[in-house]
Amino acid sequence: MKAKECQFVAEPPDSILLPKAFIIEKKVIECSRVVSLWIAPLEKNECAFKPGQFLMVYVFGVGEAAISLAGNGGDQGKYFLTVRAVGSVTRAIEQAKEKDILGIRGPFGNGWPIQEASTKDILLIAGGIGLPPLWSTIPFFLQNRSRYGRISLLYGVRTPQDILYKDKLESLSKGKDISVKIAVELATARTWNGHIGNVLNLISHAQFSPPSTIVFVCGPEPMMRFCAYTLLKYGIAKEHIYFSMERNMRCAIGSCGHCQFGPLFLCKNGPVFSYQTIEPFLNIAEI
Amino acid sequence: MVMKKLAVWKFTSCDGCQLSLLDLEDELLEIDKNFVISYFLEASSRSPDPPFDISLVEGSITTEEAKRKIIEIRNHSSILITIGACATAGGIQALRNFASLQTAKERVYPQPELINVLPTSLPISQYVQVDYELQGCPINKQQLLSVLYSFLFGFRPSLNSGSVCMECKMRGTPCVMVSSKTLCLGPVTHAGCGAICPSFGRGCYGCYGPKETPNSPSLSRWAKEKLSIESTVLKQAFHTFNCIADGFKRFDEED
Amino acid sequence: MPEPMFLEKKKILQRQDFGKLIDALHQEGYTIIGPVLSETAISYGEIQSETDLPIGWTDIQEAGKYQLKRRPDEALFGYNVGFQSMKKYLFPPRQRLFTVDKKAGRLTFVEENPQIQKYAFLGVRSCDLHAALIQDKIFSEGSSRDKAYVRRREEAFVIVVQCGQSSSCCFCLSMGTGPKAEGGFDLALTECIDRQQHFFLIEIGSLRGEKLISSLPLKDVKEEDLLFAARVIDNAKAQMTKVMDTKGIKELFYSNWEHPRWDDVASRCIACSTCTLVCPTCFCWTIEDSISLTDQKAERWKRWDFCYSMEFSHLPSGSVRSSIKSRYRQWLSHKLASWIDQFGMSGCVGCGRCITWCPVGIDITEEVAALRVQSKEDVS
Repeated sequence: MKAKECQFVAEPPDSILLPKAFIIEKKVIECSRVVSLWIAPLEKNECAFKPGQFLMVYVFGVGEAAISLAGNGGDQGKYFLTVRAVGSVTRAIEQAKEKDILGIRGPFGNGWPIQEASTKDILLIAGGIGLPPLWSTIPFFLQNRSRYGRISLLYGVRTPQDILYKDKLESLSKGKDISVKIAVELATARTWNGHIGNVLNLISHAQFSPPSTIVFVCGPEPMMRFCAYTLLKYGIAKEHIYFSMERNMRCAIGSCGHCQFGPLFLCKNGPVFSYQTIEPFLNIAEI
Repeated sequence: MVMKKLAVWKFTSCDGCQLSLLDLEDELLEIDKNFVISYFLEASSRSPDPPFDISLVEGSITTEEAKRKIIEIRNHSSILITIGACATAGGIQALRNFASLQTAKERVYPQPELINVLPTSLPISQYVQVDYELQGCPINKQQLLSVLYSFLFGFRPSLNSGSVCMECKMRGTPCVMVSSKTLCLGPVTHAGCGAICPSFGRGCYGCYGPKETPNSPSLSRWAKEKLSIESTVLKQAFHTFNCIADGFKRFDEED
Repeated sequence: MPEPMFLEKKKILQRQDFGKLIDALHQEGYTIIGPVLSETAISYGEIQSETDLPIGWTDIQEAGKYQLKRRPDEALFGYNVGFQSMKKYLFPPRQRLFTVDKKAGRLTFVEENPQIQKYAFLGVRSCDLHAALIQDKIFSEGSSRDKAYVRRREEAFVIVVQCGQSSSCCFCLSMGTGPKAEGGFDLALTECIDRQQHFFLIEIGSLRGEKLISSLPLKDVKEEDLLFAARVIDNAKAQMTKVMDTKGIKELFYSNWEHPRWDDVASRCIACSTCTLVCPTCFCWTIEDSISLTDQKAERWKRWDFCYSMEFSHLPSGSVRSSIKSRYRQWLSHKLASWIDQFGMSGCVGCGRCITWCPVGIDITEEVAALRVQSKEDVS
């Protein structure tokens, strides 16, 4: 290998490791250990985001965590996030109060392939805390509804108490633009009115034509894998099934090496991948 | 910020880990701003005043009385942190676990019948639920500070869990195993001491105990086959301050 | 910056004038970093004068073994790579990224503007030069671009020493990264020493390299000097016995994730992270956030990280790679296979450090050879 010269760009870009200050405008407790936050930048923030992207959220002195964007906070430059407390940083975010300041970097990642969904039937399949990243696509679909075929949101949770965005889901299902179906695993006829069981069972109740259907899935990895097997059985093509993958993130810019999944940097090449891309690595234990 | 009540307890140990707390010097004054030191025999004669937000426990359990006392401490403490090899791994006194207590007593004491102890020295975690373990002999006082403040702010401490090899290389010390054929437990030992001993040409003694997933059998095999280290020397190296910890107790067998 | 037209310019510097090169570098304000002798090994440190170099020393390297040995001559660079590299200076183990001030409920982020020191690296081997070029791809391009790294790299004055010998762990020939560096340096020296003479053939690789040596008592190159220098390089090639078969290596790894060899190496690997620490291309790092209560100030630091730690890759449910097998597999497959997909080149430069300094002597060339046996696919 002949030694190549090092080419340097004259003007280095703004530091993307430096957070911007955002204030928590509103906080809502969704359910046990899960909160939603509406955050606004203290200085002008031009960053629009693509659905499926994520932010790195910093809590003073505690650290940073990767949080999926669930929507814009009503205005350009504002964000709407839903966070589940699972570790130090997310717990600190959960305990933050309105008017507290967070450090925000991003948005990062490639986002859901909304363009590809044009003219197709769409299945949005969410497991548990996988709903927020999929929720970010809803406004985009509703804005240009005629561009798409039939759209179904299939959402699975463990108990009725775990259902996020109850009000939003209710008004969405009233709207008739998107069919909403919820499955609860642990419930009885008394505690839950709707479907009892796994979210995958809802697929057979959805309206779609497999050859022209695109699927966006987000949830625990085992759930996503089983989902893919089920969808393949329906005849949906591998390249039309998309996962949002998760691993611990640090830099979010494809530099630190932590989020590697095989040769893929989840932060830079993902977090959204087609099943076709990810399949070779998905079934290898501890990859 | 509400002041947290801190208590410091001692069981069978040399006191060195508690001393680390006093060794903090300037930072001790800071601790004083956020914690009420409710009980700390080495520093004050104040009587214990339960309940405690954080109890730091040094030493291993070797008597019946200690067994009762640790359970009482656990019941009165929101958070229990064990500090040092004695509390986290039984200490060097756990060597007696490998032998007959009676023989040991007779060799050491002129009146062995007066010594009333358990046959084993075991870590605190064998008797009560422990919220966090700080390894080391003695512990690293900066790590202690970091742990205390983590709990003060309500988040789990995240200390580097690598091997001593990392600290050695960061210091610029050439590996003593590779370049001087010296037995060193660094590759299987938890980081924390800054790799002091190899910087003097000595192999690591394993004071900080085994790191996660230690592969001691591989290290032992190499030591015997390539460095011509005798089995007795190998045993003496592994059976010191953390002699009964997983990974050090049985260093020669496959798990 | 290397200028192609200067690659043809060669000069001769006599041994007795070598000190003047050191002086010239000092005069330009460089801190010279090069090989120095510690008690048991050759490491990397500051060079104040030529006597700081391991003159008259060489080394014997094998898997898990490193031994210093006296040479019969007084060569300045008659040894192989030590356990450290330029990486320590170009990509420092710990760097502060920013500080945060918390005042009246507001957070102010202040980015760190690091002092960039002027380093001259004396005695860089071709493998290490290639390693720096590999790290350039990561840290000076695209989203992972690091401003401080770019500045350090621009300031770094690189003086390569073309290898005249190789250890039994070197395999740069297999990786196409040596033993002769063809470009990418400011100056390259080939040390020519025998009973009658001792001189350096200097290859000029950049404008600033030419400028630096313009004040030195240089002689023009004669045909016999070029032949001598060529023999030096040939000697390095001839001594190199270790080989890494890189044919179809990416496919080899991608089709053998569950090869029985991984279990075998897992029984030997002690997950100490030494290989990542001595490797000149390993680039993984992590973020450490700390807080100081007194000043209501927090800091973010960047520090080297190692894929051998349990929590390197994790999900809320726990570590993703909890077995040593998975971590070793991650390191080697990243280095030799995934790296190619990520950066368009191999992550390995064949310096052999991971083989020499592994406390249990694991040899990656042997591991690759073993994967080819019983491989799931014919990748030859």
